[in-house]
This record gives sequence, C-alpha cells and structure tokens, in this order.
Amino acid sequence: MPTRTLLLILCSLLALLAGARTATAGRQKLVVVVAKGSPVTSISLTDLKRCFLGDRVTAHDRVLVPFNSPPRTSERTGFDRSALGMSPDDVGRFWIDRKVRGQSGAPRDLPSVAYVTKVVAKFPGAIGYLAVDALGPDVQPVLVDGVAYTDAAYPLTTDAGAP
Amino acid sequence: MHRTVFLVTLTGVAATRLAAAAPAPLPSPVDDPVPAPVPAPPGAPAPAPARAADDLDLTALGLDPAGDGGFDDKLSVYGFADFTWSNTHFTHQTPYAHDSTTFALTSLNVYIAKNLTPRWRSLAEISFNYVPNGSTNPDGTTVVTSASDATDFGRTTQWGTIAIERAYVEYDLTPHLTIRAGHWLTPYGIWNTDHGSPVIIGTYRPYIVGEQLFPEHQTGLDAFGSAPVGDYKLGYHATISNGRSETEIVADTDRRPAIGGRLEFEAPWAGTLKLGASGYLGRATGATTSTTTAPEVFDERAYAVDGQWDHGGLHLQGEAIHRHKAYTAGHHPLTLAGAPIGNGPDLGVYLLVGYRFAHLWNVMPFAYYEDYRPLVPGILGDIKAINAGLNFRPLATVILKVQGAYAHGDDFGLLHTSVMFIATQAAWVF
Repeated sequence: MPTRTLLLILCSLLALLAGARTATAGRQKLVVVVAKGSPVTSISLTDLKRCFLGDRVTAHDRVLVPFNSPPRTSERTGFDRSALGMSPDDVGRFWIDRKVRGQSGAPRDLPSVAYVTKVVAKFPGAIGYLAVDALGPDVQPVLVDGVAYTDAAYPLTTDAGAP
Repeated sequence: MHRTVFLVTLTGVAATRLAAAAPAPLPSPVDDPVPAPVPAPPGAPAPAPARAADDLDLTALGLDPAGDGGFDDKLSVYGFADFTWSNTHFTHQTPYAHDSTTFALTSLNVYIAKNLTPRWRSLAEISFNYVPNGSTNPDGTTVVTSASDATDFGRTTQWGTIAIERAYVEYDLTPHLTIRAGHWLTPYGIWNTDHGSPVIIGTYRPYIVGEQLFPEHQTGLDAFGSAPVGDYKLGYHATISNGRSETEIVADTDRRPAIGGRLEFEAPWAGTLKLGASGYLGRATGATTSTTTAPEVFDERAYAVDGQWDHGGLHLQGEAIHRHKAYTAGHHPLTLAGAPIGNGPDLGVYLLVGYRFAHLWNVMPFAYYEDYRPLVPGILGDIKAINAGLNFRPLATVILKVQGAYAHGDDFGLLHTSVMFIATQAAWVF
C-alpha cells in the first residue's frame, strides 16, 4: 500500500513538472524589431502602443510604419496583451469602432512571421515584432522603455495560450 | 489498479492545467538561449538567418519595397446599419406625442474612403433614409412619399432620401497639422463625431447631443493635429465654416463665417483618461421659406466640455454643453401665445457609467442621467431623464442593445407630459 501511494505521488509530481515545463516553453520574449542599421534603437512602450493603435509616431524624422503578425498567433495575441493591454476581442472592437468614426485602419497584418522579418528588413520605417527564436540577421531588436529583451524586466512576451 | 491509473491521470491533467493557467515564469537572462544580436562586435560574422525569407514575394501583398512601405491606397467601402424595436408611452396623449410600438430600420450609412497619397486622404459618409416618408406634418397628418413606378406597370413605390453626413479631403501639412476641407462633423464632445450606432452604447444618443447646441455638421476648413508630450497626448482643432443654416452645405447665407475650436488631453492615468473642451461662435441664419414670416436669425456662442475614463472594463463618460442665443431684431421666434422668445441659454449635461464584461457576449450594463434646460421649451420643457440598459457585443461587428428610459417633463413643456420608453436594437458593421 505505501508503495502504491508513493508511486501515485511520484507520478503526480512528474505530471506537475511536465505541465510547468510546457507552460514555460509556451511563452517567449517578444522582440520589437526594425531594419538592421536603422537609427531607431529604442522606443517607449507608450509610443509603441500609439504606433500600433493608429497614431502617427516618428523617430529620427521618419514615420514608423507598423506591421502586425498574423491574427490568432502567439506573437499577435501576446503583443496585443502585453504592449496594447488588450484582449483579442478588445482589439477587434477597437478597430471596428475606429472605422465607424472614419479614422485610419489597423496596421497591416502579414501572412507569416517570415514576412514580418522580410518586410521589416526591406521597408524604410517599418516596425514589427518577433518571438525571440525567430530573430534573424536582417533585423535589429529595439529597446522598449530602455530595456533590452535579454533583460528579465522586458515587458513583451508571446501568448502561451494562442496556437 | 484501474483506480490508481485514473487517479494518476486525473492528477497529472489537473497539474498540467494548473501550470498552464498560472503565469508562466519567463526565462531568466542567464537561461535565455538566444544571445542579443546587437551590438555585434565589428567584423563579427552575421548569425545565420532564422528562416530563408528572400524568396517571399512582397509585391504579391501589394508591398513595393521601392515605394511607401505600408501605404494602403485601396478604395475602401464599408458601413453600418441598425434595426430597432421601441415602445414609447406618453403620460399625456396628443396627436404630436402618442404611444407607439414599432419596428424600424433606423440607419443605413455607407463610407467610401481612400488614401490618395501618403499625405492626402478622402472620406465620404452617406446616410440612406426613409424620411420624409412617415414624418409628421405640423398639422398632425403624416407625410407619405408614394409615387407610381413607371418601370413597374405604374405600381406604387415609396421613395426616401440620402443625406451626406460628411465628405472631405485631408492633407497632412506637417506631422502635427492636418487640413480637412469639405463637409465634416463638428469636432466637439464625444457622441457628435462618434455618431454611428455601433459606437453608441445606448440605443440612442443622449437627447441633448441630438439637440445640436453646436451645429452637428459644418462646411469649411478644419485644421487639426495632435502631439505626444511624454506619456500624454495633446490635440486640437481650429475651424472656420459657413456656420449654421439649413443651406450651409452650399451657401454662407449671411456671409459671416463661423469659427470654432477644440482642445484635447489624453493621459494614461489608471487606464486612459480623455478630456476635451470645445467652443463655437457664429451667426445662424434661417432660410427664407415664406414671404410673410421672417426667418430666425441669432448669434450663438457655444461651449462644451467632455471627459471619458476607461479602467479595465469600467467606462465613465460625460458631456456638458452650453449655448447662448441672441436673436437679431425682428427675427425672434414666437411662443404659442404670439410673444417673441427672448435671448438666453440652453444647457445640457449627461453622465454615463458602464462596465464591459469579458463574458455573456461581452455584455456592458450601463446607466446614464441627463438634464436638459432649453431656452425654448419643447414637448417636455426641462427634461430630466434616467436611462439604463445592456449593450452586448457578441462579435466586434455586431452590437445588440436593450434600454429603458424615463424622461420627466416639467409643467413648462408644451404638452405637459413625461415619457417612458423601452427599445432594443441590433447594429452591425459591414
């Protein structure tokens, strides 16, 4: 009997560890990126939010052009939550309401993360975001509120709950 | 043995769920397996690309690397509509104010928008109406817009109208100054410019907003812009227009331009706080429609303040509007007793509170109170109204509302009546 109980507790602990590992692996740093060599090296979270919510934001005399990751990806929902402070439903309502007001539309959605890398690398003023494991040589990370993505205090993460 | 396996499985699933629901710990800088790619030491070899992206066709997305990145020059056509059921009860029945229970298609607005260049934009909003069909004449009879349709064996059809809500072109002169030219909604308050039923929380705007203490539309120029100041945002409008009249969209009847302005402030204080203050100064000249009655002509000064605060699901919103009218000699309207109406103020205020939940179709229970003290008493005289209801948003593009209201009219109203109504509305964006 004690052996069965011990086995039960051991299995439960293993399952708990596996679950925790899955949740950790499901969330990554979400890195704000611009083209390699861009003079933009830092942006405030407030300006980042404004830029992706339809305001004109300039940096080094150039208007920043935001590009979004595809909807319902962990990058997109993570950015909406951690940068914009909105749930996917909130974001949908926000852009529909802006249309009814006659205001500018949402930043362009790109079809895949590979497009984010290429568009950000090619277009002057383009700004986007990538999961940390998708960083490549053509883009450069941007500090957010002066914090590098390698810092524990970096505020943006992907969403563990999204596909 | 089966029981043990079941218990182990159940415990494992529960543990996994708990771990997934809890905030996931972020990898520490030490654990982070991906080194920061910047700054790279001079001469260091570039890291391998995460994935080959060079073969992706950007032009297929309408993105030309040689052009203006992200510039969207597609013609955009969209709009909104709403359908309402309402039950209205007046405590004192007259031909002008009587109980009704009805369905109605209340709005069908179409937008046509296009970015002409990165700096030039155009927007038109057209409202399709059934009016004047079904409108009440001054003598209590009903307007019927029947006509025989020559293309359908002379059968009867009803015609309606269109109203150009706004049509303008904009040019970004600088990052902080845009010039808008054309016919636009007066930039004051909250629900004059946010006039579409999908963005209005209740089934109708507060009564005072529809009273047009500022002109609802103007035709002329609007210079506006905004600028961030730290975490805050400041915005402004400065307008010059034909002013108020029935024909202002095509003529400045009195050749006296009206001027106006607005200041806006936005702060990230415990959520988002937005404040605004607006002013308008002009002469309103009624059109001459009779050879025996002089049209109304008055100088008006209007001021308004507004604020809204969003904190999570909590939404607070209010507007206060004041307008002073000074009639020119010989152009006063008359009371029912035939005496000229004197100069004086109109005043209106409302305050709304609501909370948007993330479940039950994103329901928002809301309530608002409004107080309206007009210079010229209407059907109800001074109005004090209590409104409450629910706003559901099952989809971003579909809004369902139910609202009840009681508006108390005082003894100075023309009809000595109060009114109660309940309304439900479906509004949608297409």
